[in-house]
Amino acid sequence: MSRQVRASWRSVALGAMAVASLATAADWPQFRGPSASGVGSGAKPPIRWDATKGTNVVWKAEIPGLSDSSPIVWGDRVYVTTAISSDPTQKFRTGLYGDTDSVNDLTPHQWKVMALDKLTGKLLWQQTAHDGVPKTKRHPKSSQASPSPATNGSVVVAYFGSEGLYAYSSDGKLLWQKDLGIQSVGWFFDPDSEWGAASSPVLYKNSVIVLCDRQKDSFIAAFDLKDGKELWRTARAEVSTWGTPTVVAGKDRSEVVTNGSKAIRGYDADTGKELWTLGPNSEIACTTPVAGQGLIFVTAGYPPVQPIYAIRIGSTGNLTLAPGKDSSDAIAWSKPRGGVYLPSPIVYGDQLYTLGNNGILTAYDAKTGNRVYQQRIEGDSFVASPVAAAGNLYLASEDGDVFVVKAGPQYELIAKNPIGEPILATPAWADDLLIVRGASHLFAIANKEGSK
Amino acid sequence: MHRSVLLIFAASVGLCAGDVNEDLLEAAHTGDLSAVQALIGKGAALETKTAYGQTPLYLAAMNGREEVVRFLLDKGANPDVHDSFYHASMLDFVLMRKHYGVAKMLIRKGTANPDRILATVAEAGNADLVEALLEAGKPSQPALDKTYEAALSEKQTDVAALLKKAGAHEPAPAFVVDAKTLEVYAGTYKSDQIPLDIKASTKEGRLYFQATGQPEFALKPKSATQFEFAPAQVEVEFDSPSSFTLKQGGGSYHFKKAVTQ
Repeated sequence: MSRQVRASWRSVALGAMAVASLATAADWPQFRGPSASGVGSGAKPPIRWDATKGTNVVWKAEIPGLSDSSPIVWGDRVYVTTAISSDPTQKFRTGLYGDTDSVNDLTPHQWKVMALDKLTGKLLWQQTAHDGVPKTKRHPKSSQASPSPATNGSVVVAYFGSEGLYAYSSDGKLLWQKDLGIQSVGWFFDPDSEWGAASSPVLYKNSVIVLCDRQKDSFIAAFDLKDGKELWRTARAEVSTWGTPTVVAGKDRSEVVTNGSKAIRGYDADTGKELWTLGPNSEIACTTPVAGQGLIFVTAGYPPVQPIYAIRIGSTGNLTLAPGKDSSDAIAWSKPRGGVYLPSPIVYGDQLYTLGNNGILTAYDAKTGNRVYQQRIEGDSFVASPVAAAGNLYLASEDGDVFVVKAGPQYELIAKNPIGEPILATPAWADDLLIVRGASHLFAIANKEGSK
Repeated sequence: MHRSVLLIFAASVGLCAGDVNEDLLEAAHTGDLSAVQALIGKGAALETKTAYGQTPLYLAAMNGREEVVRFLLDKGANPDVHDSFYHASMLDFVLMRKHYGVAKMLIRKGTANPDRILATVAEAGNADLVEALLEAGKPSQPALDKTYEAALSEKQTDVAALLKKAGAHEPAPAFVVDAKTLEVYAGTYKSDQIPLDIKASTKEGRLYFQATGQPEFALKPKSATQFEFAPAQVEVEFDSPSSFTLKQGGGSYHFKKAVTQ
């Protein structure tokens, strides 16, 4: 046994001990966790680490291919998706740029779903959902496997856009699959500029809800988790969008809130009936709605319309504000500017935080919309959405650093933690374990050494 | 009865016209020349528009469909259309995507003020296009001079030679600011208006600016306190050694020195 291998064994063993001592893990069943909140339940999550040196890294697992989908967690398992191109030179193009052109990698791909052991990172099973040449192109920042999977612990659902919707049992058996048609998702201005599907499936009761906003014939639909039977489908007068819908539980109903270029909309989660609509919004809508403080926050950041809306849960009808108004019975507050483009906002404590692609973090009073502070983070470019735990925000940059910022009305940077490879996927929490997906690896990070 | 039949007939004619127009936009976008010809023959409108104000020629041009562009231009399609979202001309997208064959056709048919497009065309560094533009119409002297200066700065010798031949004047000698004056400006500046830091530094007798996350660029002095960066249309004026106003794209931003270097 080589010295290097022995060192790896030792680090895995230490990692396993550290995790075993953690409190019972909460599950992270979908993109950004329960209700897309981004908020983890851990009391002692890691604050400082250095993945390039292995500090506070419990395990590190290579994930082949290219994907910016987020890992999800249930029980002792971590699930990830990926798309493996036959062209080994394929990679993300990071940084701030405004090019509209697509990556047209027409080599054969494999679309995979993988399950890893949460304590060790060991691969438990992997399934190839689909083999073939991609039916649509991707954005240089995106991948052929951008939607994050979702699970209820017994069924794992993976959505690969034009390559279909797949449901597996938690031990990797294919339960059913659906072809949802060609998902040509791209620039509204030129259908040839395909950027790829990114909206993640979400689970509600015994159904999976999928938002398919594309160049033509957009829709939102729910399928039975048991057999994939379509339960409802509602047409949407929409161009391409990329945000994941969020199911928000209200007093009398659960509504599916969707971002959208033509309108932000709420649907009855049981029937798909449209409940409310709100505009105007950006022509490119990428972020996921989040709920907190009795409000649903929706933002988009493609100029010239870059709004932030705080919508009261349970509203009905056309919520569009009268000219010159920034609030109403249904809209607690709104702003015509300040909306962000890619990272979804987060509500944590009393604040709503938005993070711009350029690293500008803005905190608002969630109830009133008053701006609390605005601060530029050191990193050059951000795509991943913020997550939070134990009083801190975690902001992952494309440069490969995770910035830990103290939550609250004062900006305070606590730590800058290198991962060592670009980060485009939103990290996941498994109680005190932070799971970060870099461009090539999954990292499980914990407060192994009691760092503060 | 007659009236309702007529209304239905009118509605169906309108529906058909809508269909052929949509088909024409699609065919132009995909570069299907025979479909474009057939649809024009069926009465599709040459200047029909997408929701964003793009005509069939606009879509064909921005996707580099040369045959379709040639056909539509011959049919009299307007090459000077601007879309309703970005307010950009088709030539803007054509140059951005380097469809130079299409660009040449548009320039030759275009009626837009050559001053407006000279800088854009010259910036592409393609001498053929500059030649086509100069043949299509003479730009004003200030436009020629400014573009010539930019071409010299970017070392686009072929383009510069064409502009010189068209009558561009040699640029005035650069204003020289002594190194000691420039060094006073060095530091990191912040603005209350935008969350952007600008680092000012000096190298080899030149003042450089670098905004957070962006590449460094050299400023050209117009006086001891006024500078410009022509390619991005940035103008900077220092009102003291520790503050300046930056103007770009109609905006004006005041910066104060936060850190002295």
